Amino acid sequence: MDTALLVETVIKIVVILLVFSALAGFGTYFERKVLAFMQRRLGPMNVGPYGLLQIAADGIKLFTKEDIIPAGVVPLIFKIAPVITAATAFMAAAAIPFLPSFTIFGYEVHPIVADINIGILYVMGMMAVGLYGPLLGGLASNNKYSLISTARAVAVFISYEVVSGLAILAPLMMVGSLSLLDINDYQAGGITHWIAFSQPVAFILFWIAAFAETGRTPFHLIANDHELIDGFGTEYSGMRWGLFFIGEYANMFFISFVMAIMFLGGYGDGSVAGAFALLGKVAFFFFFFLWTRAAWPDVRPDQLMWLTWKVLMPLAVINVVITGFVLMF
Amino acid sequence: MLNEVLFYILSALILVSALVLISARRPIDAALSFIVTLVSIAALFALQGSSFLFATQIIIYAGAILALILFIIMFLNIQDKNLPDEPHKKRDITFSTLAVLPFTVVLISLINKSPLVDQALPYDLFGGIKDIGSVIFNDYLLVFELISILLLVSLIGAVSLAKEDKDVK
Repeated sequence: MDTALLVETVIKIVVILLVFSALAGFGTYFERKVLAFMQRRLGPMNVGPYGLLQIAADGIKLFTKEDIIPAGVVPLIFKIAPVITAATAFMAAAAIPFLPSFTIFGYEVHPIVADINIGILYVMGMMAVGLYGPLLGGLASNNKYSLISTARAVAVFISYEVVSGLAILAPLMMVGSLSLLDINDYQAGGITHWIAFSQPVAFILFWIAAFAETGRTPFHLIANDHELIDGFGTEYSGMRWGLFFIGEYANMFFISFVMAIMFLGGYGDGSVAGAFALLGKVAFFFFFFLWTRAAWPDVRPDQLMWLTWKVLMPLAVINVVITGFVLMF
Repeated sequence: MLNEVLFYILSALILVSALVLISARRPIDAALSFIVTLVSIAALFALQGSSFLFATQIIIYAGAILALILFIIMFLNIQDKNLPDEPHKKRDITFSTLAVLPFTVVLISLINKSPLVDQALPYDLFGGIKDIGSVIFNDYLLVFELISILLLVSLIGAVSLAKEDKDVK
Protein backbone atom coordinates (compact mmCIF):
# COMPACT_ATOMS: atom_id res chain seq x y z
CA MET A 1 0.00 0.00 0.00
CA ASP A 2 1.07 3.55 -0.64
CA THR A 3 2.89 4.82 2.45
CA ALA A 4 1.65 8.39 2.06
CA LEU A 5 -1.95 7.16 1.91
CA LEU A 6 -1.40 5.02 4.99
CA VAL A 7 0.06 7.94 6.97
CA GLU A 8 -2.73 10.24 5.79
CA THR A 9 -5.40 7.73 6.83
CA VAL A 10 -3.86 7.20 10.26
CA ILE A 11 -3.68 10.97 10.83
CA LYS A 12 -7.33 11.36 9.82
CA ILE A 13 -8.40 8.56 12.17
CA VAL A 14 -6.50 10.09 15.09
CA VAL A 15 -7.91 13.57 14.40
CA ILE A 16 -11.50 12.24 14.19
CA LEU A 17 -11.05 10.23 17.39
CA LEU A 18 -9.64 13.19 19.33
CA VAL A 19 -12.08 15.78 17.98
CA PHE A 20 -15.18 13.72 18.59
CA SER A 21 -14.10 12.42 21.99
CA ALA A 22 -13.59 16.04 23.01
CA LEU A 23 -16.89 17.03 21.39
CA ALA A 24 -18.64 14.29 23.36
CA GLY A 25 -17.32 15.91 26.52
CA PHE A 26 -18.37 19.34 25.35
CA GLY A 27 -21.73 17.89 24.33
CA THR A 28 -22.48 16.94 27.93
CA TYR A 29 -21.70 20.50 29.08
CA PHE A 30 -23.82 21.94 26.30
CA GLU A 31 -26.67 19.58 27.13
CA ARG A 32 -26.65 20.51 30.82
CA LYS A 33 -26.58 24.22 30.03
CA VAL A 34 -29.35 24.03 27.43
CA LEU A 35 -31.56 21.93 29.70
CA ALA A 36 -30.85 24.30 32.60
CA PHE A 37 -31.77 27.43 30.65
CA MET A 38 -34.96 25.80 29.38
CA GLN A 39 -35.88 24.94 32.99
CA ARG A 40 -34.91 28.38 34.37
CA ARG A 41 -31.80 27.13 36.14
CA LEU A 42 -28.16 28.07 35.71
CA GLY A 43 -26.69 24.61 35.19
CA PRO A 44 -23.03 23.93 36.07
CA MET A 45 -21.54 27.19 37.39
CA ASN A 46 -18.96 26.38 40.06
CA VAL A 47 -16.01 24.85 38.19
CA GLY A 48 -14.30 27.52 36.12
CA PRO A 49 -15.98 30.48 34.37
CA TYR A 50 -19.62 29.58 33.62
CA GLY A 51 -18.79 26.05 34.71
CA LEU A 52 -16.71 25.48 31.59
CA LEU A 53 -14.11 23.39 33.43
CA GLN A 54 -16.86 21.01 34.50
CA ILE A 55 -15.92 18.90 31.46
CA ALA A 56 -12.34 18.55 32.74
CA ALA A 57 -13.57 17.75 36.25
CA ASP A 58 -15.93 15.07 34.91
CA GLY A 59 -13.17 13.64 32.74
CA ILE A 60 -10.72 13.41 35.65
CA LYS A 61 -13.40 11.79 37.77
CA LEU A 62 -14.26 9.19 35.12
CA PHE A 63 -10.62 8.30 34.44
CA THR A 64 -9.57 7.99 38.05
CA LYS A 65 -12.57 6.12 39.45
CA GLU A 66 -12.09 2.50 40.36
CA ASP A 67 -13.05 0.08 37.62
CA ILE A 68 -15.42 -2.18 39.53
CA ILE A 69 -16.26 -5.62 38.12
CA PRO A 70 -19.16 -6.81 40.32
CA ALA A 71 -19.41 -10.40 41.50
CA GLY A 72 -21.75 -12.51 39.38
CA VAL A 73 -21.09 -10.80 36.05
CA VAL A 74 -19.53 -12.57 33.07
CA PRO A 75 -16.18 -10.74 33.19
CA LEU A 76 -15.01 -10.94 29.57
CA ILE A 77 -18.33 -9.90 28.02
CA PHE A 78 -18.91 -7.30 30.73
CA LYS A 79 -15.54 -5.69 29.98
CA ILE A 80 -15.84 -5.77 26.21
CA ALA A 81 -19.40 -4.35 25.86
CA PRO A 82 -18.60 -0.62 26.36
CA VAL A 83 -15.68 -0.93 23.97
CA ILE A 84 -18.06 -2.24 21.29
CA THR A 85 -20.34 0.78 21.75
CA ALA A 86 -17.55 3.33 21.42
CA ALA A 87 -15.68 1.45 18.67
CA THR A 88 -18.68 0.95 16.40
CA ALA A 89 -19.72 4.58 16.85
CA PHE A 90 -16.31 5.76 15.64
CA MET A 91 -16.10 3.11 12.92
CA ALA A 92 -19.29 4.53 11.46
CA ALA A 93 -17.45 7.84 11.06
CA ALA A 94 -15.10 6.32 8.47
CA ALA A 95 -17.51 6.86 5.58
CA ILE A 96 -18.76 10.33 6.59
CA PRO A 97 -17.30 13.39 4.82
CA PHE A 98 -16.95 15.90 7.66
CA LEU A 99 -15.89 18.86 5.52
CA PRO A 100 -15.43 19.55 1.81
CA SER A 101 -11.93 18.74 0.57
CA PHE A 102 -9.45 21.55 1.11
CA THR A 103 -5.81 22.27 0.29
CA ILE A 104 -3.21 22.63 3.04
CA PHE A 105 0.49 23.28 2.21
CA GLY A 106 -0.23 22.37 -1.41
CA TYR A 107 -1.61 18.97 -0.41
CA GLU A 108 -5.25 18.21 -1.08
CA VAL A 109 -7.02 16.75 1.93
CA HIS A 110 -10.30 14.85 1.71
CA PRO A 111 -11.81 14.89 5.22
CA ILE A 112 -13.23 11.39 4.82
CA VAL A 113 -11.34 8.31 5.99
CA ALA A 114 -12.56 5.91 3.31
CA ASP A 115 -14.74 6.92 0.37
CA ILE A 116 -16.36 3.51 -0.15
CA ASN A 117 -19.08 3.26 -2.76
CA ILE A 118 -21.63 2.03 -0.21
CA GLY A 119 -20.99 4.82 2.32
CA ILE A 120 -24.44 5.25 3.82
CA LEU A 121 -25.02 1.48 4.00
CA TYR A 122 -21.74 1.12 5.87
CA VAL A 123 -22.72 3.83 8.36
CA MET A 124 -26.09 2.15 8.95
CA GLY A 125 -24.40 -1.22 9.33
CA MET A 126 -21.95 0.01 11.94
CA MET A 127 -24.76 1.67 13.88
CA ALA A 128 -26.63 -1.64 13.69
CA VAL A 129 -23.65 -3.48 15.18
CA GLY A 130 -23.52 -0.82 17.90
CA LEU A 131 -26.55 -2.62 19.32
CA TYR A 132 -24.19 -5.24 20.76
CA GLY A 133 -22.88 -2.75 23.33
CA PRO A 134 -26.15 -2.43 25.28
CA LEU A 135 -27.09 -6.03 24.45
CA LEU A 136 -23.94 -7.69 25.79
CA GLY A 137 -23.50 -5.18 28.61
CA GLY A 138 -27.00 -5.82 29.90
CA LEU A 139 -26.78 -9.59 29.44
CA ALA A 140 -23.50 -9.89 31.30
CA SER A 141 -24.46 -7.54 34.14
CA ASN A 142 -26.51 -10.00 36.22
CA ASN A 143 -28.97 -7.25 37.10
CA LYS A 144 -32.69 -7.27 36.37
CA TYR A 145 -32.80 -3.59 35.42
CA SER A 146 -29.97 -4.11 32.97
CA LEU A 147 -31.82 -7.09 31.50
CA ILE A 148 -35.07 -5.16 31.00
CA SER A 149 -33.08 -2.35 29.41
CA THR A 150 -31.38 -4.83 27.08
CA ALA A 151 -34.72 -6.29 26.01
CA ARG A 152 -35.97 -2.81 25.21
CA ALA A 153 -32.76 -1.84 23.43
CA VAL A 154 -32.91 -4.82 21.08
CA ALA A 155 -36.59 -4.26 20.31
CA VAL A 156 -36.14 -0.53 19.69
CA PHE A 157 -32.95 -0.76 17.64
CA ILE A 158 -34.13 -3.54 15.36
CA SER A 159 -37.52 -1.92 14.80
CA TYR A 160 -36.16 1.53 14.06
CA GLU A 161 -33.44 0.19 11.78
CA VAL A 162 -36.28 -0.97 9.55
CA VAL A 163 -37.76 2.54 9.54
CA SER A 164 -34.49 4.37 8.91
CA GLY A 165 -33.45 1.88 6.22
CA LEU A 166 -36.75 2.19 4.35
CA ALA A 167 -36.78 5.96 4.83
CA ILE A 168 -33.41 6.53 3.16
CA LEU A 169 -34.27 4.10 0.36
CA ALA A 170 -36.46 6.69 -1.40
CA PRO A 171 -33.81 9.46 -1.54
CA LEU A 172 -31.20 6.88 -2.56
CA MET A 173 -33.40 5.86 -5.49
CA MET A 174 -33.34 9.48 -6.65
CA VAL A 175 -29.58 9.90 -6.22
CA GLY A 176 -28.64 6.50 -7.59
CA SER A 177 -25.60 6.12 -5.36
CA LEU A 178 -24.91 5.10 -1.78
CA SER A 179 -21.81 7.27 -1.38
CA LEU A 180 -22.36 10.25 0.89
CA LEU A 181 -20.13 12.33 -1.43
CA ASP A 182 -22.44 11.63 -4.39
CA ILE A 183 -25.50 12.37 -2.25
CA ASN A 184 -23.95 15.70 -1.30
CA ASP A 185 -23.05 16.57 -4.90
CA TYR A 186 -26.58 15.69 -6.02
CA GLN A 187 -27.86 18.58 -3.89
CA ALA A 188 -25.24 21.11 -4.96
CA GLY A 189 -26.95 24.16 -6.41
CA GLY A 190 -28.65 25.86 -3.57
CA ILE A 191 -31.36 25.41 -1.01
CA THR A 192 -34.04 24.39 -3.53
CA HIS A 193 -32.11 21.24 -4.43
CA TRP A 194 -32.14 19.86 -0.89
CA ILE A 195 -33.56 16.36 -0.65
CA ALA A 196 -35.53 17.46 2.43
CA PHE A 197 -37.90 19.34 0.09
CA SER A 198 -38.33 16.59 -2.50
CA GLN A 199 -38.53 13.84 0.16
CA PRO A 200 -40.11 15.45 3.24
CA VAL A 201 -41.65 12.19 4.46
CA ALA A 202 -38.32 10.37 4.31
CA PHE A 203 -36.63 13.25 6.11
CA ILE A 204 -39.10 13.27 9.00
CA LEU A 205 -39.09 9.47 9.29
CA PHE A 206 -35.30 9.29 9.36
CA TRP A 207 -35.20 12.10 11.91
CA ILE A 208 -37.61 10.23 14.19
CA ALA A 209 -35.61 7.01 13.74
CA ALA A 210 -32.42 8.91 14.62
CA PHE A 211 -33.89 9.67 18.06
CA ALA A 212 -34.55 5.97 18.59
CA GLU A 213 -31.16 4.82 17.32
CA THR A 214 -29.27 7.17 19.59
CA GLY A 215 -31.60 6.35 22.48
CA ARG A 216 -32.61 9.95 23.11
CA THR A 217 -35.82 11.31 24.65
CA PRO A 218 -38.70 10.73 23.72
CA PHE A 219 -37.38 7.21 23.01
CA HIS A 220 -35.09 7.09 26.02
CA LEU A 221 -36.61 3.84 27.28
CA ILE A 222 -33.32 1.99 27.13
CA ALA A 223 -31.94 3.69 30.21
CA ASN A 224 -34.97 5.46 31.60
CA ASP A 225 -33.61 6.91 34.82
CA HIS A 226 -36.73 6.78 36.98
CA GLU A 227 -37.62 3.15 36.28
CA LEU A 228 -34.43 1.40 35.15
CA ILE A 229 -31.70 3.35 37.02
CA ASP A 230 -29.16 3.59 34.18
CA GLY A 231 -30.37 0.56 32.24
CA PHE A 232 -27.56 -1.50 30.78
CA GLY A 233 -25.03 0.86 32.35
CA THR A 234 -26.23 0.31 35.92
CA GLU A 235 -23.39 -1.99 36.98
CA TYR A 236 -20.67 -0.02 35.22
CA SER A 237 -18.33 2.48 36.79
CA GLY A 238 -15.47 4.73 35.81
CA MET A 239 -14.22 4.80 32.25
CA ARG A 240 -16.16 1.73 31.13
CA TRP A 241 -19.36 3.66 31.79
CA GLY A 242 -17.65 6.65 30.17
CA LEU A 243 -17.15 4.64 26.97
CA PHE A 244 -20.92 4.04 26.75
CA PHE A 245 -21.32 7.78 27.17
CA ILE A 246 -18.77 8.71 24.51
CA GLY A 247 -20.36 6.19 22.16
CA GLU A 248 -23.81 7.71 22.68
CA TYR A 249 -22.68 11.29 22.10
CA ALA A 250 -20.43 10.39 19.16
CA ASN A 251 -23.41 8.60 17.63
CA MET A 252 -25.52 11.74 18.06
CA PHE A 253 -22.91 13.80 16.24
CA PHE A 254 -22.44 11.28 13.45
CA ILE A 255 -26.14 10.80 12.81
CA SER A 256 -26.49 14.61 12.76
CA PHE A 257 -23.79 14.68 10.06
CA VAL A 258 -25.58 11.97 8.10
CA MET A 259 -28.90 13.85 8.28
CA ALA A 260 -27.29 17.16 7.31
CA ILE A 261 -25.52 15.59 4.32
CA MET A 262 -28.41 13.39 3.18
CA PHE A 263 -31.31 15.78 3.51
CA LEU A 264 -30.11 19.35 4.06
CA GLY A 265 -27.59 19.68 1.26
CA GLY A 266 -24.43 18.92 3.26
CA TYR A 267 -21.57 21.27 2.41
CA GLY A 268 -23.10 22.26 -0.91
CA ASP A 269 -20.59 23.25 -3.56
CA GLY A 270 -17.63 22.81 -1.22
CA SER A 271 -16.79 26.46 -0.54
CA VAL A 272 -15.76 27.76 2.89
CA ALA A 273 -19.30 29.04 3.42
CA GLY A 274 -20.60 25.56 2.58
CA ALA A 275 -18.31 24.01 5.18
CA PHE A 276 -19.58 26.38 7.86
CA ALA A 277 -23.16 25.76 6.71
CA LEU A 278 -22.63 22.01 7.24
CA LEU A 279 -21.30 22.59 10.76
CA GLY A 280 -24.24 24.90 11.43
CA LYS A 281 -26.73 22.26 10.31
CA VAL A 282 -25.04 19.65 12.50
CA ALA A 283 -25.18 22.05 15.44
CA PHE A 284 -28.87 22.59 14.76
CA PHE A 285 -29.60 18.85 14.75
CA PHE A 286 -27.59 18.39 17.94
CA PHE A 287 -29.43 21.27 19.59
CA PHE A 288 -32.72 19.73 18.47
CA PHE A 289 -31.84 16.51 20.33
CA LEU A 290 -31.42 18.55 23.54
CA TRP A 291 -34.45 20.73 22.87
CA THR A 292 -36.67 17.66 22.48
CA ARG A 293 -35.33 16.27 25.74
CA ALA A 294 -36.39 19.42 27.55
CA ALA A 295 -39.76 19.67 25.83
CA TRP A 296 -41.12 16.14 25.56
CA PRO A 297 -41.88 13.33 28.01
CA ASP A 298 -40.88 9.77 27.18
CA VAL A 299 -43.33 7.51 25.40
CA ARG A 300 -44.29 4.09 26.76
CA PRO A 301 -42.60 1.00 25.29
CA ASP A 302 -45.83 -0.28 23.74
CA GLN A 303 -46.51 3.14 22.20
CA LEU A 304 -43.00 3.07 20.77
CA MET A 305 -43.57 -0.31 19.10
CA TRP A 306 -47.02 0.74 17.89
CA LEU A 307 -45.52 3.86 16.35
CA THR A 308 -42.81 1.95 14.48
CA TRP A 309 -44.72 -0.93 13.02
CA LYS A 310 -48.18 0.55 12.51
CA VAL A 311 -47.40 4.15 11.54
CA LEU A 312 -43.80 4.81 10.50
CA MET A 313 -43.03 1.62 8.58
CA PRO A 314 -46.18 1.70 6.38
CA LEU A 315 -45.50 5.40 5.69
CA ALA A 316 -41.92 4.58 4.66
CA VAL A 317 -43.06 1.78 2.35
CA ILE A 318 -45.72 3.99 0.73
CA ASN A 319 -43.09 6.69 0.27
CA VAL A 320 -40.77 4.22 -1.50
CA VAL A 321 -43.56 3.03 -3.80
CA ILE A 322 -44.62 6.59 -4.72
CA THR A 323 -40.99 7.58 -5.36
CA GLY A 324 -40.63 4.55 -7.61
CA PHE A 325 -43.68 5.51 -9.65
CA VAL A 326 -42.55 9.14 -9.98
CA LEU A 327 -39.07 8.10 -11.08
CA MET A 328 -40.49 5.67 -13.63
CA PHE A 329 -43.07 7.86 -15.33
CA MET B 1 1.32 -8.44 1.32
CA LEU B 2 -0.84 -6.67 3.89
CA ASN B 3 -3.90 -8.25 2.28
CA GLU B 4 -2.42 -11.73 2.61
CA VAL B 5 -1.54 -11.26 6.27
CA LEU B 6 -5.06 -9.98 6.97
CA PHE B 7 -6.52 -12.90 5.04
CA TYR B 8 -4.71 -15.46 7.17
CA ILE B 9 -5.58 -13.68 10.41
CA LEU B 10 -9.24 -13.56 9.43
CA SER B 11 -9.25 -17.18 8.32
CA ALA B 12 -7.76 -18.24 11.63
CA LEU B 13 -10.41 -16.21 13.45
CA ILE B 14 -13.19 -17.80 11.40
CA LEU B 15 -11.93 -21.34 12.02
CA VAL B 16 -11.34 -20.87 15.74
CA SER B 17 -14.66 -19.13 16.38
CA ALA B 18 -16.53 -21.74 14.32
CA LEU B 19 -14.87 -24.46 16.41
CA VAL B 20 -15.94 -22.69 19.60
CA LEU B 21 -19.44 -22.39 18.14
CA ILE B 22 -19.89 -26.17 17.90
CA SER B 23 -17.96 -27.10 21.01
CA ALA B 24 -19.26 -24.48 23.46
CA ARG B 25 -21.44 -25.86 26.23
CA ARG B 26 -23.60 -22.83 26.92
CA PRO B 27 -25.72 -21.59 23.98
CA ILE B 28 -24.82 -17.96 24.69
CA ASP B 29 -21.11 -18.67 24.22
CA ALA B 30 -21.89 -20.37 20.94
CA ALA B 31 -23.96 -17.39 19.77
CA LEU B 32 -21.22 -14.93 20.73
CA SER B 33 -18.51 -16.84 18.90
CA PHE B 34 -20.84 -17.06 15.90
CA ILE B 35 -20.86 -13.25 15.82
CA VAL B 36 -17.06 -13.35 15.51
CA THR B 37 -17.37 -15.85 12.64
CA LEU B 38 -19.90 -13.74 10.75
CA VAL B 39 -18.05 -10.46 11.20
CA SER B 40 -14.78 -12.09 10.11
CA ILE B 41 -16.48 -13.42 6.97
CA ALA B 42 -17.79 -9.91 6.33
CA ALA B 43 -14.24 -8.62 6.68
CA LEU B 44 -13.10 -11.23 4.12
CA PHE B 45 -15.69 -9.85 1.69
CA ALA B 46 -14.40 -6.33 2.35
CA LEU B 47 -10.84 -7.51 1.72
CA GLN B 48 -11.91 -8.69 -1.72
CA GLY B 49 -13.57 -5.40 -2.56
CA SER B 50 -17.10 -6.82 -2.36
CA SER B 51 -18.31 -3.87 -0.38
CA PHE B 52 -22.03 -4.50 -0.83
CA LEU B 53 -21.74 -8.10 0.35
CA PHE B 54 -19.73 -6.83 3.32
CA ALA B 55 -22.42 -4.34 4.31
CA THR B 56 -25.33 -6.76 3.91
CA GLN B 57 -23.47 -9.47 5.84
CA ILE B 58 -22.93 -7.03 8.70
CA ILE B 59 -26.44 -5.53 8.68
CA ILE B 60 -28.44 -8.72 8.20
CA TYR B 61 -26.44 -11.38 10.03
CA ALA B 62 -24.54 -9.47 12.69
CA GLY B 63 -27.01 -6.61 13.08
CA ALA B 64 -30.34 -8.43 13.02
CA ILE B 65 -30.30 -12.24 13.02
CA LEU B 66 -27.68 -12.80 15.71
CA ALA B 67 -29.18 -10.03 17.84
CA LEU B 68 -32.53 -11.84 17.70
CA ILE B 69 -30.90 -15.19 18.52
CA LEU B 70 -29.23 -13.64 21.56
CA PHE B 71 -32.55 -12.03 22.47
CA ILE B 72 -34.29 -15.42 22.40
CA ILE B 73 -31.52 -17.10 24.41
CA MET B 74 -31.85 -14.28 26.93
CA PHE B 75 -35.60 -14.82 27.28
CA LEU B 76 -35.39 -18.59 27.55
CA ASN B 77 -33.12 -18.05 30.56
CA ILE B 78 -31.36 -21.40 30.24
CA GLN B 79 -29.76 -22.60 33.47
CA ASP B 80 -26.73 -24.85 33.51
CA LYS B 81 -28.75 -27.72 34.92
CA ASN B 82 -31.16 -27.58 31.97
CA LEU B 83 -28.41 -28.27 29.45
CA PRO B 84 -28.25 -31.82 28.14
CA ASP B 85 -25.39 -34.06 29.23
CA GLU B 86 -23.01 -34.59 26.37
CA PRO B 87 -20.38 -37.00 27.68
CA HIS B 88 -19.12 -37.99 24.23
CA LYS B 89 -19.06 -34.53 22.70
CA LYS B 90 -15.34 -34.44 21.89
CA ARG B 91 -15.47 -37.91 20.41
CA ASP B 92 -18.54 -37.01 18.34
CA ILE B 93 -16.92 -33.86 16.98
CA THR B 94 -13.74 -35.74 16.09
CA PHE B 95 -15.58 -38.49 14.24
CA SER B 96 -17.86 -36.13 12.38
CA THR B 97 -14.81 -34.11 11.33
CA LEU B 98 -13.21 -37.30 10.00
CA ALA B 99 -16.44 -38.17 8.22
CA VAL B 100 -16.55 -34.95 6.18
CA LEU B 101 -12.80 -35.03 5.47
CA PRO B 102 -13.09 -36.82 2.08
CA PHE B 103 -15.68 -34.28 0.97
CA THR B 104 -13.35 -31.45 1.99
CA VAL B 105 -10.52 -32.99 -0.07
CA VAL B 106 -12.79 -33.19 -3.12
CA LEU B 107 -13.91 -29.61 -2.57
CA ILE B 108 -10.35 -28.29 -2.30
CA SER B 109 -9.24 -30.11 -5.45
CA LEU B 110 -12.33 -28.81 -7.23
CA ILE B 111 -11.51 -25.22 -6.24
CA ASN B 112 -7.90 -25.69 -7.33
CA LYS B 113 -9.06 -26.94 -10.76
CA SER B 114 -11.22 -23.86 -11.25
CA PRO B 115 -9.89 -21.44 -13.90
CA LEU B 116 -10.50 -18.56 -11.49
CA VAL B 117 -8.02 -19.76 -8.91
CA ASP B 118 -4.96 -17.89 -10.21
CA GLN B 119 -6.85 -14.76 -11.11
CA ALA B 120 -6.06 -11.60 -9.22
CA LEU B 121 -8.86 -10.20 -7.10
CA PRO B 122 -11.31 -8.32 -9.31
CA TYR B 123 -11.01 -5.28 -7.11
CA ASP B 124 -13.79 -2.75 -7.59
CA LEU B 125 -15.08 -4.70 -10.56
CA PHE B 126 -17.89 -6.44 -8.75
CA GLY B 127 -19.38 -5.57 -5.44
CA GLY B 128 -20.89 -2.19 -6.14
CA ILE B 129 -24.68 -2.06 -6.03
CA LYS B 130 -24.96 -1.35 -9.78
CA ASP B 131 -23.21 -4.60 -10.78
CA ILE B 132 -25.11 -6.72 -8.29
CA GLY B 133 -28.42 -5.12 -9.26
CA SER B 134 -27.93 -5.66 -12.97
CA VAL B 135 -26.87 -9.28 -12.48
CA ILE B 136 -29.82 -10.04 -10.20
CA PHE B 137 -32.45 -8.33 -12.32
CA ASN B 138 -31.14 -9.46 -15.71
CA ASP B 139 -29.58 -12.90 -15.33
CA TYR B 140 -31.28 -14.31 -12.26
CA LEU B 141 -34.64 -12.55 -12.24
CA LEU B 142 -36.74 -15.71 -11.92
CA VAL B 143 -34.68 -17.11 -9.04
CA PHE B 144 -34.75 -13.74 -7.32
CA GLU B 145 -38.54 -13.49 -7.58
CA LEU B 146 -38.97 -17.06 -6.35
CA ILE B 147 -36.84 -16.29 -3.30
CA SER B 148 -38.91 -13.16 -2.69
CA ILE B 149 -42.10 -15.24 -2.76
CA LEU B 150 -40.54 -17.74 -0.35
CA LEU B 151 -39.65 -14.92 2.04
CA LEU B 152 -43.15 -13.46 1.71
CA VAL B 153 -44.71 -16.85 2.48
CA SER B 154 -42.58 -17.27 5.59
CA LEU B 155 -43.42 -13.72 6.66
CA ILE B 156 -47.16 -14.32 6.36
CA GLY B 157 -46.72 -17.66 8.10
CA ALA B 158 -44.92 -16.05 11.01
CA VAL B 159 -47.64 -13.40 11.37
CA SER B 160 -50.46 -15.94 11.28
CA LEU B 161 -48.69 -18.18 13.80
CA ALA B 162 -48.07 -15.29 16.16
CA LYS B 163 -51.62 -14.00 15.81
CA GLU B 164 -53.82 -14.24 18.84
CA ASP B 165 -56.09 -17.24 18.72
CA LYS B 166 -59.64 -15.88 19.06
CA ASP B 167 -61.27 -19.25 19.90
CA VAL B 168 -59.06 -20.02 22.88
CA LYS B 169 -59.88 -17.57 25.61
